Amino acid sequence: MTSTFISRFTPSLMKQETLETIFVQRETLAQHLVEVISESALTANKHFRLLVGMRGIGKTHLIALIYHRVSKMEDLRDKLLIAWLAEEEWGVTSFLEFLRRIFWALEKEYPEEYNAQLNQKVKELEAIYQSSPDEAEHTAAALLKDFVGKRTLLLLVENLDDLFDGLGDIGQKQLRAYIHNYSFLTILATAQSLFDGVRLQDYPFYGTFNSHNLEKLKLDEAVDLLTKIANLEGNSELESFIQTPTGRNRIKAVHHLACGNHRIYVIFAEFLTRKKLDELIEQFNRTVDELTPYYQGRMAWLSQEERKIVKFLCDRQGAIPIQEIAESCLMEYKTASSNLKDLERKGYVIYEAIGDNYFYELQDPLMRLCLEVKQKRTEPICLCVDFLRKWYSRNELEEQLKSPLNNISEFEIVLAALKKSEKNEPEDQRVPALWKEYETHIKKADFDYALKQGNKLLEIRGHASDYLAVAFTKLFLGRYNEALECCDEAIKIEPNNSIVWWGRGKVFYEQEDYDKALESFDEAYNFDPRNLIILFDWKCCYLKNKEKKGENDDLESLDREIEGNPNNIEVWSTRAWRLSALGKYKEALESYDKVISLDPFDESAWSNRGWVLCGLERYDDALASYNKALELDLNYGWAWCQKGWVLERLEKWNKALEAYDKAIELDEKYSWIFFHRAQALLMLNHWDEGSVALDDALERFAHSSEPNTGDTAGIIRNLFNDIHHTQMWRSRISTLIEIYNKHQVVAELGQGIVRSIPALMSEMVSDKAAQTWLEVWQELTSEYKEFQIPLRLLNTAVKYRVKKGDRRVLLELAIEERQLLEPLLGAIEPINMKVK
Amino acid sequence: MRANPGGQVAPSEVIGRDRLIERLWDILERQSLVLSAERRMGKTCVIKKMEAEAPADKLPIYHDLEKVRSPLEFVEVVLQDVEEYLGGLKRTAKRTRDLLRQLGGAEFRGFKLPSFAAPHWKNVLTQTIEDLVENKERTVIFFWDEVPYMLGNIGDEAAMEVLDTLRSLRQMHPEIRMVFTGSIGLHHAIDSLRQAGYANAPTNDMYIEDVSPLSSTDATELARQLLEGENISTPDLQITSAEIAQAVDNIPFYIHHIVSQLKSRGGVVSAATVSEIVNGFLTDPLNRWDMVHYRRRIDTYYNDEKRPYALDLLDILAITNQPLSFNELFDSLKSQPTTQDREIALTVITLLQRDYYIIQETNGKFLFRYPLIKRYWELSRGLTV
Repeated sequence: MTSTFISRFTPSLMKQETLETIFVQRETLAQHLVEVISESALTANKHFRLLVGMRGIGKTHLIALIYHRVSKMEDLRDKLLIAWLAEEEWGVTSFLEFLRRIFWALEKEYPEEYNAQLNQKVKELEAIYQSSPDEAEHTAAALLKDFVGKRTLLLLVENLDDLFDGLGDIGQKQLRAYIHNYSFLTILATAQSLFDGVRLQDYPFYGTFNSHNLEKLKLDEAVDLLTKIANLEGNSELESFIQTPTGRNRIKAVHHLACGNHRIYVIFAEFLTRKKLDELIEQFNRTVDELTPYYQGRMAWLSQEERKIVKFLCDRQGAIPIQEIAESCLMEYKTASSNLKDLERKGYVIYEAIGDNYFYELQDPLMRLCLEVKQKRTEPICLCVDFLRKWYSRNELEEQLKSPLNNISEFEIVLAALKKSEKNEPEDQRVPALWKEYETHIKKADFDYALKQGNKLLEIRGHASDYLAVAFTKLFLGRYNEALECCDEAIKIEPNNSIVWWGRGKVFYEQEDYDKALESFDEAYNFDPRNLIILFDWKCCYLKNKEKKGENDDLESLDREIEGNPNNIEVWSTRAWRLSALGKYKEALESYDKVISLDPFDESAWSNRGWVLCGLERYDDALASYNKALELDLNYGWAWCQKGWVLERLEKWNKALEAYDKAIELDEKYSWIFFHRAQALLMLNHWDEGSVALDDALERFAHSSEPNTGDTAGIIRNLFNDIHHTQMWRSRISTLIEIYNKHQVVAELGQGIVRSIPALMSEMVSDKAAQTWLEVWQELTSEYKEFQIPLRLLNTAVKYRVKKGDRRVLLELAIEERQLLEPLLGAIEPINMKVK
Repeated sequence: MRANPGGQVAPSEVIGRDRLIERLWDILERQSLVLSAERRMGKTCVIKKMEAEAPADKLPIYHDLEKVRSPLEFVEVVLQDVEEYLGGLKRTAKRTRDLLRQLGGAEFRGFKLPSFAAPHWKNVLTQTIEDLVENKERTVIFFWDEVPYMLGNIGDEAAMEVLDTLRSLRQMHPEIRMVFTGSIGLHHAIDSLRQAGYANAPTNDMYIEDVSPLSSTDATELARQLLEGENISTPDLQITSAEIAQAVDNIPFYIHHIVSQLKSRGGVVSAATVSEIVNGFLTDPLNRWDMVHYRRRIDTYYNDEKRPYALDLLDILAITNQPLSFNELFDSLKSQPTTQDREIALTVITLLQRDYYIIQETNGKFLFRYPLIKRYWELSRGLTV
């Protein structure tokens, strides 16, 4: 790790290299600005540009970057002078004072030339001022003009709105006249908003500045910024983590509150580590603390009346009509309205118009949350961050639920693979204990400790699986070369073991050496064509490789081989496998049919064909294909897993349950199978048995660093749809709360409540049913803080439907909560929903 | 050429003003000139180009006067400009300096006129112009920009005196030329003085000329050069250029703005993109083109009696597709109880023409001067059907 100075509040202090390294989103604009400044220096055209954006949006960063780039341009050396005025030029109350600030900036920039030509004369201005301020002003204007000579003077002016306020009407007119009379000035300025002094025709500088609105960071850009900061700090572990789906989900949670403000990300990144990003709450609390001066600074820029409004909006959640704001702030309606418009231009508030009413709220939810912290109320922000963390993790899970293969975490895959490569019962009694320790710590992402256990296994016996175990811990720790050495040792011991080849492929994959990774995955496939995890990784690697090389994903070489030998089963099989990996299910199906026509007893071909049919959503056909595979090999564990999943799609819960039981019996002990089994029992109304199964699944999988808690939304949605009895709801919800609370994951039920809201919005559901559902939850969860946000969202959703979609109901919610709820209200009834 | 909305455009890159400038030189052969136009129509560009490319027998002296706060400061500006010119000829403003020595009892040095000269500003100005006339080798033309601002700064009484003095100097020295320009219509400044008791017509010896938008050919050419200069892709450069020019009524400031927006937006530009950007500006909640000004100005410059006439007239013209005669307009006006007076209606129609809202065609019918403003008026006043 290196230590590079990244200033949070004064980017002008940073070195150019740092500014460039962490510069995101605005390269095109930066280049354009450099070009127009260059044109201003080299021709009679003079540009006046204004960068507009709220505090913390990166205005000074951009100005500093432009300054460095322009000052290094050789062709401008004799043509351009630069005067970079201080960010906060307090006390500029006249045109003369403004000219003096320019002199100070020039002195700093060009000390020799300044001392030779200007220093003494500028000092004399003070004496002249005593006898005639007008004379001093006139002299100063003439001095500057003479000093610049035939060159162009670039003024870098921050907070132009503030400067213009100080200059007043006559000072602005003097400046404008000076610009017009002598035509040697070009200006790059910043402002928080497009203020009246440049916006309205009644002001001298109307239309003079071409404004550029600095946009907020989008999620990808925020990820880019954090990645660049991690890279600059030499924090490769964090840099890698940010790129993972989990890391990205954590940033999504931050992004939900940060509103794309650059400064917040810079502060957020300051103490960031992989662990802190993963856990999030502690890091967020620290960020909020560090943000206090930023928000205090934002408040300081406002008038007393504006502050009063902001404070009121901070205290109140949701969007508030102007009338209410005016009354609560003891203002006339007109005053409140005018202040709100000003706050909106400055980026503090946003509004929504409903009919004739305008509802205003704070644009930046973090501002409200920070002020709550200042009032010693830390709980709201912790609850909010925790909810968002889970929400975006769950989003990933929702995606995973679409496919059983995606439903397995990286750690689970590794542990399952290690178990499979562990073929014989261990002779040494210490081995099982070490494996258990290893497994426990891998699940907790404590790789250093897991590595120690792996090394002990190597000392005791040195099996291929032991080398692989050590290889994976080193892989997770980013020690790729050592990981590779371990894989190679494992291959020496068991050259025909698909898992060790797969592990080798994973190491190359992480190093982005996709060609070598593909070679290893191909070897792995040759030894175990049944293994869909190998297929999945091969696919990712293949696509990444194509992306890296900019190639299309063609399979021409295989096609040529087939032309030469149309009955080569291995080539057909590889073709089918690759096509399915690439999602080209229709073509893959044709290839599998060909494989099966050549060898109807290939159970893996039948099973993989089932997978392809699932991709085509032909579940009946997929089921038939899995059945065929199982006819050929009744102990084909993965085929049982997939069969169970297909039976779920077909709502054949009894059969699905049997399939899952069989899969578990065959040691396919993935977390999703346990949870799906429990859910199948609940769907079959075997509530007691289902509860026990759920409890068991949570016991197994809810206590790791990446806890798996099952599809809570599915469970809750089914409960709502299947049961029509309030007492039954009460009883079953109580059970669920008890089970989840026992495993300290009760917040996950809150996620499920929110995600199942679309079920309540169906036209087939009565208002009364929705209201009762809400009341039961309210009654049973009042003691749990984890349910505060979910119940608030549920309450709003029910109220919204009872009031026939009255948007004002939604505006009562804080913006960050409303943004979560809104997409759920228009959702179409999900699959498996029954009419109520 | 790069888009540079609001910035200073190099005189050599000012497009489509050659014929206007030629006409202005012709006028200046005969008399002085009031050059008026809406803000941002390009007045300053025109006079800067005249200053940069003046014929050999003319000496243009440009000065932006918006900063001037008193008659003495104005004289000071004129004296400095005259001395700078005479200095080039190795001469001085002798009469003026003699006068100042007499007034102050000592040699005048420095840039600023001493405060004791304030009561004598007319005399100092007269001497300064006489120094110029006596020593000049070419026809001197004062291009005084933002004159109405100066008049506003110095107060009603002094403003009347300045205007009268300048008129008197033009009569005394017919070889001197003055060009007044300003963002605020000079007629509003003079109307304001009239309300304070002023009865003269201080510019009735001057030719009044408007700076109009560019011709459609020149506006299209400007758009084309800007699109090329900014490397903006478009399926058909000529069609897109024409679309831009037409969408903003051939006004160069807005053409620069549209191209600048297109540059920021990136991608390939079509006619639809242009239309989308223009509509965006017209309905922009941030009011970046300050179109609200056209509504606000009615409140500022039209009194309670005239205001309802102005608003109703513009509302009527905003929703009609063809020009209307005065009688047609007045028939519609009469339907409202607050606009029944024919004479007031006629006065307001004249004012609206001078304020660039409307024009009268040769057949006597009225219409909005700029379709862009008409469209804005229609949108902002809720007149869209």
